[in-house]
Amino acid sequence: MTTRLLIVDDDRSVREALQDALGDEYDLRLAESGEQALELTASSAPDIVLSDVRMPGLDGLALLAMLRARAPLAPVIMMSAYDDPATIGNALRGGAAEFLAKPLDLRAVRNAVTRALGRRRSDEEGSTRATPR
Amino acid sequence: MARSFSLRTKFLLTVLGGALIPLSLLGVWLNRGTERSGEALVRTRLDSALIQLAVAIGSRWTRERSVLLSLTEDEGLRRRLITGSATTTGDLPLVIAMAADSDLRHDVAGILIRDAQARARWSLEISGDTAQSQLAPVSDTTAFAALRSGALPVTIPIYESAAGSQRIGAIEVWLRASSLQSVGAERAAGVATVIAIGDSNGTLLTPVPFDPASLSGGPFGWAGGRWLSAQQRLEDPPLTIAAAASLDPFTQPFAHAARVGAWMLLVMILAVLLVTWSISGRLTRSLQQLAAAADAVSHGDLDRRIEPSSNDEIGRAALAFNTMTENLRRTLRLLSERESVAAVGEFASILAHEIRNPLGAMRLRLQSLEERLGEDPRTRAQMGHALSDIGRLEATVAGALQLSRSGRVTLGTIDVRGPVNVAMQQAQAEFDRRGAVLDDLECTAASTAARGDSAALERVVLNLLLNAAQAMQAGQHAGVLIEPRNGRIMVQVWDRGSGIAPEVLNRVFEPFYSAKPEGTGLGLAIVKQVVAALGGELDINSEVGKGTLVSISLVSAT
Repeated sequence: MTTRLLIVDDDRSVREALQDALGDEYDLRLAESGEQALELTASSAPDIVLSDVRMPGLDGLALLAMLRARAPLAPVIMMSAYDDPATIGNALRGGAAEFLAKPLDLRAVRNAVTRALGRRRSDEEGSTRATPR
Repeated sequence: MARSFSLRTKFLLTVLGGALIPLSLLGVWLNRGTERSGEALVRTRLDSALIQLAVAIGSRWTRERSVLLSLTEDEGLRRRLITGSATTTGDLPLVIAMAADSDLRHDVAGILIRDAQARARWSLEISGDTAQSQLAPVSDTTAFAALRSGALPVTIPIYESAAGSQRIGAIEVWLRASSLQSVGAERAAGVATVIAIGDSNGTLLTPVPFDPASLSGGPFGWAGGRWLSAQQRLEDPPLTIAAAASLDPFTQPFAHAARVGAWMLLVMILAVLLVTWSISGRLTRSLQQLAAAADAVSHGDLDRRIEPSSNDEIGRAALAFNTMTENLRRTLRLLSERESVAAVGEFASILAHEIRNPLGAMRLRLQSLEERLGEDPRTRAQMGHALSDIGRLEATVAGALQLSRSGRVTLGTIDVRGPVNVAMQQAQAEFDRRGAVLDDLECTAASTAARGDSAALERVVLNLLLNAAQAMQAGQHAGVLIEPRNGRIMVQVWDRGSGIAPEVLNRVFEPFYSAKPEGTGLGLAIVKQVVAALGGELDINSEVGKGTLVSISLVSAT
């Protein structure tokens, strides 16, 4: 089963570049805002979320908080052109699995997604073992 | 509206009111005192002269009266007065025994003998050059009355016997006031310049050159001068002696001294005023400069300075003013710089975001394409160059962002050795990689407490050490020295590497200037910015082939 990857970024060029680069490997969903990401999540829960931090309306950190509550098993990878310590700290403290600084590097994105997927799987396994049949 | 005096006017008024007016009053009082002293001296001398005069006239009259008393003892005279006849047979003529040089001749103008009924019976007129001494029966007293002018009467009673008490007549003696005056003139010589004789009522009988009423005692004015008079009364003969003397000879020396004193006082007052004017001028000029400078500062001229003209309180106030203005200017500059730094940071941050998004998209697409490329080495090489250029562009953006944030430091008291040691540890790997030697930290400062930000200083020293390492060959040495200099703490990063050419050295702190192909040209620009934000100063010296020395001067916290 193909991994469902939700990409959230208000910059169309970033969304499309990621789609072009990763579209063959993952089942991609694209959202241009936090609000749209929530709608897509409600209809089909993603395996992994890749979200920008600064966006108009519902920003990445608020989205992160809501996703952690609605889909706690889906790792969220935050990315931002603002790579100052405060932004990175807020993202990681908010429960982000990784932080990627823009401009994005394809290898770094793949590695982050792979690590997040591994974490999700281990989380799922842990969750399954903990659930009594 | 109340009138406001200048500080200088108030100062002068204070000197006038507090010192000069009391001094002037003292001068006037002394002047009056000297005048009173002269007057008291004249009064004492005048009284003394009058007493001597009274004694002289009294003793002279005592001698003269004894001569006249012998006449009252004459039995012939008694008989004639008792019988009432002018002459009696066998009686001797009435004669007064007067010696040729007797004072009586001068002092007595005439003698008149009256009977019990006060009728004039015999008389004798006496003049200085006559030797006549025989009394003649009075036939006509009119002529005798003329003698009374300028003379005063003294009555000596005649009794019936030496032991009797019945008065049978009297001798009326008329004394010449002018003659008595001449006695006084000798006695009072040198003191009184005017002597006058009067009767017992004080009516003067000798002429005086001024109003006789002036001689009643006390000071008076005459002939343009000040005079003093005094009187002395005698019981026997009953008369008044008056004397007057000019006060001027006695008061003039005092008055002269007082005038000299007054002039000196005036000169002194003028001198004091002049000195006060001069001193107050200097004082108020300094204060006016201070006030003008304060006004200028209040209107925004923070470059205004005052040259202190003295070391007194005003000089110290001027120095304090300059320091205060300098601090104000520095504070405003820092505030302005911080605002600028914040604005630049915000702008750079937004700009970086706008660049990094398309740059990231570009890199993602290129990397995606690179994965699908065939094995054509030329195409792969071109793709590699494009991705390398993107990497360089990103490094520049990151450096610019770091530069924009480099002014944001949190100042506090730090131990300089801490961040320097951390930076040296971090740089050690780069030195090891190149085979260069990083010497141990050398510190000659007793106290290494400085005003700064540990993280910022750590970045600065690390940046300088990495730069040094890049300029070194294997075996060459570099190090860090901390030493005190002129109350500041110097952190010196040195190396014995290749050095920097002069034309490069002049531009090393310029943003985006780099002599290294892979450099962004922002490292030293960031270093300079951070050192400035720490309140420090940066200096660099280098010589090609010998090495480089970068000195950071920090504000000591001790």
